[in-house]
Amino acid sequence: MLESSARVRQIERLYRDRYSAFVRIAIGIVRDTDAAHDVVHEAFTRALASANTWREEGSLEAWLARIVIRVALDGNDPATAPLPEDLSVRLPFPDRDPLLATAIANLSSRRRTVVFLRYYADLSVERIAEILGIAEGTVSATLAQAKDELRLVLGPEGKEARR
Amino acid sequence: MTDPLDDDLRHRFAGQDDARLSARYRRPLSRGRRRRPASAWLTAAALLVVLATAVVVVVARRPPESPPNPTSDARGLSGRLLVRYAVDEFVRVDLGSGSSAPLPYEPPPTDVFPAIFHSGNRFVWQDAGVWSVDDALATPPARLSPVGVGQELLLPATPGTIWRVAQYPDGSARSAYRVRADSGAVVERFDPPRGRFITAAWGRKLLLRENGDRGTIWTPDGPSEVLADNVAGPLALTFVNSSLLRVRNLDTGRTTQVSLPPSGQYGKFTPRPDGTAIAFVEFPKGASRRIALADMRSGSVRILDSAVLGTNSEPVLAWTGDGRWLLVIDAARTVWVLDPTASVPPHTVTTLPQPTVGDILEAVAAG
Repeated sequence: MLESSARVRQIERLYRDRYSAFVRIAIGIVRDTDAAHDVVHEAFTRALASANTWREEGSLEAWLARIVIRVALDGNDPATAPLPEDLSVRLPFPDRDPLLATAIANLSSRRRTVVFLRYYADLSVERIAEILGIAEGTVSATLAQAKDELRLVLGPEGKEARR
Repeated sequence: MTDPLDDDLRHRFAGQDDARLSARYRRPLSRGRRRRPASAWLTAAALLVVLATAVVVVVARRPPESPPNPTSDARGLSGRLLVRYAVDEFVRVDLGSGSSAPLPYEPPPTDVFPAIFHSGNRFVWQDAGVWSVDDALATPPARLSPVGVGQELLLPATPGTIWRVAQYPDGSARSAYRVRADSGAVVERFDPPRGRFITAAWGRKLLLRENGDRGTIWTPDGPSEVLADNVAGPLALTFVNSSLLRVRNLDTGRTTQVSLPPSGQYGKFTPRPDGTAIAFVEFPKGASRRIALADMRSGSVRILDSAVLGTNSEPVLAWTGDGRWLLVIDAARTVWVLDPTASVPPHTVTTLPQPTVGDILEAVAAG
């Protein structure tokens, strides 16, 4: 097991390297940029205070992301507790892309969460699986189903918008 | 084979970022360095020696320059304004003439929380390093230091000096120095207590004492307990509740209670340099945003203007160095000048150029 100081250095490194991803995760839940920055700071404060509770099962990034989600949800459960099924993620600025906002809102809670973590927080399938506590295959399947749904709404118009 | 929907979704989700996050995201944290052959280094070193010799000769022969004097407009407005877009674009404005020009500045590959302020005769800011430029803007910005470990918190200290505090993610300060704003030379070092970040309520990440009392924020100059914005002397701003703001001047110990307008949403608190007032923006729902002034002697609040800002602008405020004028930059990048005594109606100085990326983050003025 890593020594405490080494783990703090790892946490600090993730803070510096992955700050944007953590903020994006928080924005989806709190839907306010400043509040999301505060959530990430609070989450890292908690993570550092309980750095020795991480059992090195899975990645440190996923463990931190779960703390960020818990803080954003205003929860005090330990990081190892399962996350709620519905994280209530929404687009922070739905007016900027009403079509995407509608398409995302029509997805089931799980599909919406997976799409959000994949395309907004830019997390890998493996990392999403760790965060949500489900199998990678389940994440891939959920993502594929979500994309099938989104394709119906965004397909032609999405291509137009990109031209 | 790549699914075009993947690209489309990434593109659409990228549109959900705010300017700060976009700017933070668009640059990788580290850029790979290309290895150059040894001969290239030798050639570069030889050229450097020749160049340095030439510079020494030229500088030795050149008479000392005096910085250009700022012009003054018909109402007596003068001074300089430094405006920052997103993370790495600066525009300098001569307030008297309204002329503006981009500041030559090569951004580093990483960025941290922005903060710019005026100290002595220098504009100082931070990104992945600490930068300084003379407020006459006669020379290019000079990099005082790279960021060390963790985050770097910059705070104004005495005129002409700044505090540099290296932070870890939990907000604990690992080192703190008072350095000269012109050269970065260390004036003083001290070992600070632990603290942690709180909200960026005053446009800058602040430290909270470890006891968790939101009203007391540790100041890096030692035993003092609070620092929010010491442009006007060390002031601590605390929301007692949604409509009551407590302002404490640490130099005098004087506390002023300010009853805020009933909209419940305020921001951009900007102390006047002489400490007698704090300008802020009221954000009423569905109505035009209003610029207000809280008097620090009486605690009363006066609406300075409700016409300059629309319902959807995120303004940036800055006082001129003499505290005579309040500068307001609206969403259309127009620089407005407001008279806190309301004897001169609001007027515009200039409209700033369109930035390459992002919105205006902050501005600071010098006398």
